Amino acid sequence: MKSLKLLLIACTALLVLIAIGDYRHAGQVTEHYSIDKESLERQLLERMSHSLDHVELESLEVIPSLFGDRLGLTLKAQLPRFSEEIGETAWTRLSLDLRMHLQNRRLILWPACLRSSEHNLPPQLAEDARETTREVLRSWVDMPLEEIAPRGQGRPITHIKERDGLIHFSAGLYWPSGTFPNNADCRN
Amino acid sequence: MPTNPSHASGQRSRLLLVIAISAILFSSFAIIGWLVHPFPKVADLFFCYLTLTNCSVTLLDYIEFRWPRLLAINLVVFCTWLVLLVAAHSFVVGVSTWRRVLGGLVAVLGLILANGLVTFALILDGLRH
Repeated sequence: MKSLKLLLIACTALLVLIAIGDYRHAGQVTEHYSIDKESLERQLLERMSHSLDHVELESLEVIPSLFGDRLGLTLKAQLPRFSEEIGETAWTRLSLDLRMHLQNRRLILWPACLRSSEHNLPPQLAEDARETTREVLRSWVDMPLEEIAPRGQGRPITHIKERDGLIHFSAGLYWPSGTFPNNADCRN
Repeated sequence: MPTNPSHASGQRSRLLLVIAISAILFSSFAIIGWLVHPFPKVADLFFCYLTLTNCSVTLLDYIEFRWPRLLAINLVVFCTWLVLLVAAHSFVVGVSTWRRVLGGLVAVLGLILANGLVTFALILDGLRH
């Protein structure tokens, strides 16, 4: 019995050491970066405007959650092709979740899902408004990030938070989800 | 239950023998590993040999950044050490001679094989750089 107890103690010690090894490994492979919030918003606005054909982005704001791997994004866009039809400036306001990924020294952002949307188009143009939303959801942007180390390649961002006007994000250990853009409703 | 003093002292001496041989083998391989592949910290070397993590070695980098791979490695490492522990346990408290001999052989050869493989990976990695 005494020897069995010794064996159990050894197994427990082994599990503890494995856990410490994992903790140290997680610390070693996690990379931390930060980007100015206003600069990120400016770059996003510029690059998203380039990739959208039927939408003119008016304003955009990123909203990081306290803990999470997604970046909230609210944007207001004008829809010039409908303005004449409805007799006033047509617009849509979307609230999205963005995902971030490190790839070849670039930061790639793409909408993961839609939280809410509103527009001032009449009911008969609702399908066109939905198509506009889908266009935004299909878009993605990439931006160079000088400080990304060679190791930071092809990895999803696992933590995003905001502090002192900076967006801090890190890429660490992750569970492969295999779902690159899903473009779904965030509530599903 | 009364304990036979000579039996108990035999067990104690075999336990000390297991600890001594393990320590010698582990540190011998670790010294070779340290010589062929400089680690940033001694703790990294220790955890590399013990848990296959913290290696920072190309050949052992298959753990990558994915939790499933890391946990799979954890399982392999735990099972390997468990086999060695059970074998060493048989050597220490085995009631028959053949159990002690088999346990001792598995424990020593297993430790040599496990640590040898890590050292081999470190040597290969050292040659590549």
